[in-house]
Amino acid sequence: MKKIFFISILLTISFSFLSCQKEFLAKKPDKAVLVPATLEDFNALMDNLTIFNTGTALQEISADDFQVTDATAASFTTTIQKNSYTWATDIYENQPCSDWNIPYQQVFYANVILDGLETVKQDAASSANWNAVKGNALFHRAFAFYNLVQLFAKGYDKSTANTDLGIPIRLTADVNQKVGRGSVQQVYDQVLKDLLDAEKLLPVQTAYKSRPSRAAVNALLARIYLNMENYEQAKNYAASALALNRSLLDYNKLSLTAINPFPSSPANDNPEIIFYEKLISYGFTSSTRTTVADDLYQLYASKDLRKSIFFAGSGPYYVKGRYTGSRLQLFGGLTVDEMYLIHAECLARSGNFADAINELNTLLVTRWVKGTYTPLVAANADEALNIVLQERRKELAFRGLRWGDLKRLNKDQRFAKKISRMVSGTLYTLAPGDKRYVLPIPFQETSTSGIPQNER
Amino acid sequence: MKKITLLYTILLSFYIFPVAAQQTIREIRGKVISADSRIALHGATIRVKGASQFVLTDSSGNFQLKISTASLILQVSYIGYRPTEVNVPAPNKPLIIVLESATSQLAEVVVSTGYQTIPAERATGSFVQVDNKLLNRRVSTNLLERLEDVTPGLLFNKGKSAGANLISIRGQNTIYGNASPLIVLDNFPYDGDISNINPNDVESISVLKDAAAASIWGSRAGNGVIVITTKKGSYNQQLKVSFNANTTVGAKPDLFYQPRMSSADFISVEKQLFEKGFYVNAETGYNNPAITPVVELLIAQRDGKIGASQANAQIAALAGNDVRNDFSGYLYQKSVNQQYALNLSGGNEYQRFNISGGYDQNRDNLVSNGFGRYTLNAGQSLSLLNKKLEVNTGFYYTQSITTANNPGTSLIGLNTGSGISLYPYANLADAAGNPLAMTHDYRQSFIQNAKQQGLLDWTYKPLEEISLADKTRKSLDYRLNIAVNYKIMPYLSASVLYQYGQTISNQRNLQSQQTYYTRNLINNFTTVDANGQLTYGIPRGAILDLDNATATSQSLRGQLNFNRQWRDKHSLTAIAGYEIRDFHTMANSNRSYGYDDSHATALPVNYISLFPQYAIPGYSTTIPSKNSQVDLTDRNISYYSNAAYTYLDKYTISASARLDRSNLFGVKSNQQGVPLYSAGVAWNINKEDFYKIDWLPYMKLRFTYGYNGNVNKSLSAYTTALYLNGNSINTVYAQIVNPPNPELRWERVRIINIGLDFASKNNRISGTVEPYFKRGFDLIGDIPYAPSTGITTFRGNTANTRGKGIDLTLNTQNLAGELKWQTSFFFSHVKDKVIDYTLKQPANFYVSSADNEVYPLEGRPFYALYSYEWAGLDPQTGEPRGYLDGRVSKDYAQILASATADNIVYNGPARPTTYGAVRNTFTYKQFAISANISYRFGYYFRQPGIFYSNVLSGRGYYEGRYGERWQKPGDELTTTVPSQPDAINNARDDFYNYSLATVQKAANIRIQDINLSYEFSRNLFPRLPFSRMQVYVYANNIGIIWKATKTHFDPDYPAADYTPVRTVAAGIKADF
Repeated sequence: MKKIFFISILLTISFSFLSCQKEFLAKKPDKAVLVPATLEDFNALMDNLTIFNTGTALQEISADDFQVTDATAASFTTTIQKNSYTWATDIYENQPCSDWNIPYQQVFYANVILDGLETVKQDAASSANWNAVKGNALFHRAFAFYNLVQLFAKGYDKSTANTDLGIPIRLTADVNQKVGRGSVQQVYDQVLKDLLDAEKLLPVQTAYKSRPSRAAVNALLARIYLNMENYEQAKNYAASALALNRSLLDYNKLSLTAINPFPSSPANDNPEIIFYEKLISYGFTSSTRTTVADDLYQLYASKDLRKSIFFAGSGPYYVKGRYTGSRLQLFGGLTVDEMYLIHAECLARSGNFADAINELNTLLVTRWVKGTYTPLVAANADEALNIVLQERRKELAFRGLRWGDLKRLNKDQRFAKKISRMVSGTLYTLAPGDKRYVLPIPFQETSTSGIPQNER
Repeated sequence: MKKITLLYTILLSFYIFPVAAQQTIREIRGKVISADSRIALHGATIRVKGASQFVLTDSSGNFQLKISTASLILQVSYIGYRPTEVNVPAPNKPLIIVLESATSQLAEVVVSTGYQTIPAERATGSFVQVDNKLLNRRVSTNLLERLEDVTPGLLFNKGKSAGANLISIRGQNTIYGNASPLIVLDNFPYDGDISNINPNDVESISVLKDAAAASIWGSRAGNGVIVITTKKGSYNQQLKVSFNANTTVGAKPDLFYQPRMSSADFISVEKQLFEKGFYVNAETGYNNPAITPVVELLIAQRDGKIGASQANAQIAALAGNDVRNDFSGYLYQKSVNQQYALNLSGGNEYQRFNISGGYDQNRDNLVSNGFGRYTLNAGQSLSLLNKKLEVNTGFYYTQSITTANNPGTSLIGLNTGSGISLYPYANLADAAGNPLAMTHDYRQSFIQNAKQQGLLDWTYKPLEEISLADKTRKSLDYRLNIAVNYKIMPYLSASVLYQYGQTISNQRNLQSQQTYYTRNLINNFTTVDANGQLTYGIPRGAILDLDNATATSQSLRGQLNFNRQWRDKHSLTAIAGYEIRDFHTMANSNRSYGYDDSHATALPVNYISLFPQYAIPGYSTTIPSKNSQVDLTDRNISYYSNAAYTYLDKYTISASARLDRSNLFGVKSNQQGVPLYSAGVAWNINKEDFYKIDWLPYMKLRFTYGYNGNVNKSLSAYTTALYLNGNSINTVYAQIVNPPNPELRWERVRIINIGLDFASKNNRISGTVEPYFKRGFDLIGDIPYAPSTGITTFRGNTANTRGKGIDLTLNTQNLAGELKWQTSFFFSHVKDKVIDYTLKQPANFYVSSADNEVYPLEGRPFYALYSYEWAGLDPQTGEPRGYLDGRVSKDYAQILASATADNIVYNGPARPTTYGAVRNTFTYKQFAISANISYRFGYYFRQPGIFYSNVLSGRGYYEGRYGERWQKPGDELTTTVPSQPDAINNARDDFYNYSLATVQKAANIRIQDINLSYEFSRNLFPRLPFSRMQVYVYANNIGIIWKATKTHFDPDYPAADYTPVRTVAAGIKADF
């Protein structure tokens, strides 16, 4: 009897454990880990500024705005920077390439959010937030694709875009999905589609410049259409962006001697910033030994405040004033001054050269020492275009845009430029239309997904 | 293992079986003594088997007894000793009966699995039992190292990969999973710090090697199991007090073991670089990078601030320095480890207890570092309800304190942003021993300017830092055990075991305002306005970092035990149980700025705003926050069962099964669990009628088959993300950790083990031969994914492995007279290779990985050495040469680019494939000496090469083979170190360093240790206050006696600053 009693107690205890097992095992192994499923989670993913709000930077090393001495070139121990500067055939030598990986990480995050949103119910209370999350993800994905296509594919050319190799367009978070390169046209179609969707979903304004607003969509569309040489649309979107924000920063209010003359973004306000994005950090882009190209520096007039706000040193000059607010970090986001320049360029191209120059003067008067600025004048559209393009290079230097401009303008006989540099006695040149304007796809990609490599 | 008879009889004349004689009465005389101390036992009972007749021994252990000649067997018993039976000897032959102490495991070998103890005779699986005597042969603070070189199949990994898994049992079976064996302490898994266990408290260790032995531990048994059993008292044992004290002195490390660039060479390179203008960038650098003293002198000379003769004289003076002399003199010392242990145990018929205390005090080789440990272990068992109920309680408490004020040499030197680089002519102290300043982060001129502006002194004096440091880690570890065992029926019992354990660790790092770290941080966050006014971003005062972690484990186990023999033919042992376990870790770190230690006050700081950095113009950053929280939970529920059936004491079959379920995140509950099982058979051949081999009375054959598991809890079936705080807009943000992996499974290891145990007559020769075969399934590995997927690698169940090996043990008693000579020999051979692994990385992954990181390659071992083909140095230029398309080439970039996983040279395994040890023990009277010689064969190592990229950027100190470089034609006959190139050529460096030229065979034989002891016994010293006392001397890390490589490197420590130091210990052990 006693034995039976004992055994039954044992069994009872055991079964009481069994019943609560499921709960017992449901405990998370790590409290900080979660399965992202709510709008808050998605917002938190998009506030990850080390993933998002980061643009490619190799185009800055490859473009003609930086120059370095032989000693500096020799001291670059990282392969990718050294090879990018001299347009080597293989720039990676099997090293992984952040300029490829980071934008695709953004695409992955955006896709995780877009996939996840499908299971989140939309109701009256959450609708605005739901839309903002979706618009936000679409915007980030479009921006990432656009940055990638700038580096790893030919410049947009309406006549060949359908056959030029694009970049993989991934639209789901499924990492096992196989995706080919598609065409340049397909990439631009997808980017434009995402942005046009995002435009309807995003709020006019956001709390932080790191989160995209409707003005950011307009500004990015203006940048992309300009790049596609669709000047009509570029003009319209630049105008729309300017309609939402025309404020300019008067450079007279900035310190000329400060190492970081601009307010630190995105924490502090710089009224010109529409959308904050820094460029990937390379030693090359933050060093004081990599200096502004002489020909670019010569373009700034002595009363031009940008000469001492953008640059410092005793010649050759290093770059200090950047819209990130930090000397070490290049800026690649969307700004009001860029919209002025796009608007002006498109106006000039459409023949409206008076308005174009007016737009330019409104911008430049804030860049010169107070009272010294003489408004520019142009006799015709061609002259206006020449002026605008030169001002574009001066204003938007080191913003990650020069490489795209070179690719675009090289197609026009009037603006084509052969760029060259001398390193340790060797002259390197890059002629308009050179195959090396398209960077190779990193080894890690071609070896695993088997997508075709770019010819160099 | 072999069966060792319960009794060890020494018959003065050989008389095996009494000849049947006529039924008469005769008298026999004898003496009873103890086995370990050989003292006479007073009051032992001698009983004639089958009769009521008995006598007791007198004070000298003697007895005499009149018995009928029909009586064949005597039964001898004594409290605290194992009762035994002896054959009645021939007439007129005196008999000496030796009794084994009841606590000695030698008497009957039982192995513990943590769930049950199994008599070795009936075990089917592969166990190694390390008994108390063997454990105590070695003197150490740490328990596990006592297993080294005495445990077949168990390998201590050395070199770089050792950090990840110190011990491997029969090779490695996982790539990225946990590779360490499971440690079981007193029946429950132990997740605490192994250094918290006092070796003196340990009775024995069982190592479970195959599936039958370990599969009872299921998903945690994949890497083998080490079962530690602490000392317990015995019933019916007199109070026994033992004491052990020893002191170990370790030599000062030999810092000249690893070659370093000489001061003269270093200065000559600095001069070359200076000529080329290499330092101009640093001189004009906006962030004031540090510049070495010699270069400062060269700059001063160039700028005309000092004359050439003065500069040369000062440089010449520096060239005579070797910083290692200062390191050796000021940073290192002889280590001194003291250990004291006291143990009390005893028991009566219904109660037994054990109490022990230990104290360890270690002084490290690094000046100002040390370790102290107090342990208390108390256990009691009560036998109640007519011995039906046994209640065991145990309490184990450890408190330790680690002082780490001396970080060693790694932080000393120039911090140029690309790592610390040391200049070999540095002086740590002046002639009088006063600490001297060294160049560290910034230039001297910058430091002086800062001081003038009112900032804190920015000089860095490494020696002063040691005396200023105040960094300690206190660890407290306690466990409470309750085990209740109730005999429901004579053959059935039920037990409930519960353990509550906690490990609390508190690290405190107080960096006063005088320390360089604090001064540097405060200075960098100081801003000077136009009026010279200073504002402090970080308040002045000390910085206090506290890191606390608490790990709590609770385990509850219910188990039914069945053990029955019937009709003298059948024997069945079975257990079945249920176990639930919760392991919870909480940790937090926190930092206080402006800390005042005398009042325990701190000041608030602004963690949000960006502060410009004084030393890096243009750069702003936030104040480093060290606040973090961790909350981890590991939960398991397991069902297990194990049964063994023996027929006629000849045939045993065993089976074991276990189902584990855990809180693996996001895995569907049907995948949370994995059933693992094993089965085995054993055959005691010597008990067969046909077995007629007289000289080999013991022979047993075993065979087992089964699966163990391994788990990686960092993975999940769903996309998981981690919440973080502190982005630049001060919002919470999240980061994706895992892409979804719906196919996630636990890793499994299948092991087939075949064992043959044998013993010759009187155990003169005994041993075990155990071949085994292993397969790893569904091992978690990395698959590189196209980066366009958003991830660069995907971690999942991708790999399989195949391994095989053999463990061989041989024990011989070579001499048995007054001079005894015993030899213990073991030999382990293990080979593993990765199969079914399609991934191929670029060649440079393999050649540079060696034993750092695993890059599995199909058909090769986990840890392997690969290299580029080598064609020697160019006799004209001293440049390294390789092969490109079969032709000798110096196109390094192309050689590297054309190398693939398939065409690089596979040199061989990077871990020993054959290893073992021979231990000879000589005993003469009271003296005993034993020496262990260990050997490791069948592997390769890469000796340091030379990276000219470091030399040519003024960071060449660690390129110690610079002095061996090719300098003129003809040198290629004596060296493989290439000539110095004019400019940095990374491809040339990579090619040479990872070529065949730097690969060496690692095989070596070393005398690991020697133990010499002398035993005082009451027989010889009747007035001794102890029943037994032993004094011993132990020397460890004695040295290599043979190695395959001709280089001076120790093959197991090619990259280390110094090899393990030789230690000598002296101690005393006494039983009262």
